[in-house]
Amino acid sequence: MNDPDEAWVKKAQKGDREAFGKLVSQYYEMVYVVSYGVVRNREQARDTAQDVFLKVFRDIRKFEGKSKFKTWLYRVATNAAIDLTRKRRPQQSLDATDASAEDGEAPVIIPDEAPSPRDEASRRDLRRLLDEAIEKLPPEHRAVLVLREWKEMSYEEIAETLEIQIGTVMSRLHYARKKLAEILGHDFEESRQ
Amino acid sequence: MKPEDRERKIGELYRDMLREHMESLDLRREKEAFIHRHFESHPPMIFSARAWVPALAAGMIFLVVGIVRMLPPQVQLENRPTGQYTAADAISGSVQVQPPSAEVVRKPVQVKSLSSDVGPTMVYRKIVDDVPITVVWVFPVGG
Repeated sequence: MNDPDEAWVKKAQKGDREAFGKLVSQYYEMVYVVSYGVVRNREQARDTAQDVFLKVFRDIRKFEGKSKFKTWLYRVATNAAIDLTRKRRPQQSLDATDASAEDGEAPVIIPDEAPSPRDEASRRDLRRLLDEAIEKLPPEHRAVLVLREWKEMSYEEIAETLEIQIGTVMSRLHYARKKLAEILGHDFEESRQ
Repeated sequence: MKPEDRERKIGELYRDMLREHMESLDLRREKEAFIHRHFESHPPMIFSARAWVPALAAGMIFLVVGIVRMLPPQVQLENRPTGQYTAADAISGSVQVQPPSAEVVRKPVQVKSLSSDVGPTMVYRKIVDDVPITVVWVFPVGG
């Protein structure tokens, strides 16, 4: 397997901290965003990402090179973030009431023209709704979503990273998107057309 | 909206949201600090200024104190008439005294009586071979 990180990994396996620092430098943002995509909290995502690097350095001699280092790193990061989210609080019901209905806000219709203050307000509302909708997803589904949407990983790569079946990846992704669309509801349908 | 369009739009919105979050952070500085803290080699403690400056300062103080303590005590000599010396003026310390010369040995001095006009104790200072010494006479039965 051709792993671009192989040289750094081998040095790090011999205890070269600076070599591992190169790997940290290369993947810090990616590990952070995967963590953030799951835990949805700035400080916890930072702590998770940093803990992941320390753990990976500690265990790097166990890495046998059966997968790419990057894949192994994402697996450790995703699992750490999922574990943290599970411990943090019980999963909320996916059938929770739509936030916009709770707020009593009227649907906003946005024309496809230059963004106006109203457009911006609507966009912010949509972001908030999306944020709340993601909060209602199980952490495993958030993990699949961030790897697919942000990292643009293939189903196969996600399956290898999370050590799950490709079918499971597809079903989790489908479920996550469906739930987001349901929660975003009518506002999203009208504003994005 | 078709389901695939809806999924695509949700994906776009999701990526925009993450991108905005990432742009709002100073991840680069955070990353560099993290790497510096954990994955950069630092010089051994012995070579760091934080270690050797206090050690050097402590060493200097020790050296100065040691030198001062090794110096002989300063003796303040006063030019006073012999009779004004008292026992309190006696100075402790050692003085290397030369053995008496052969001439003195050959001519012993016999002292029949000794008295003091200044009291039971007489203290005075004299110079023997350029060394100032203090002589204390004690008269147990009075002067």
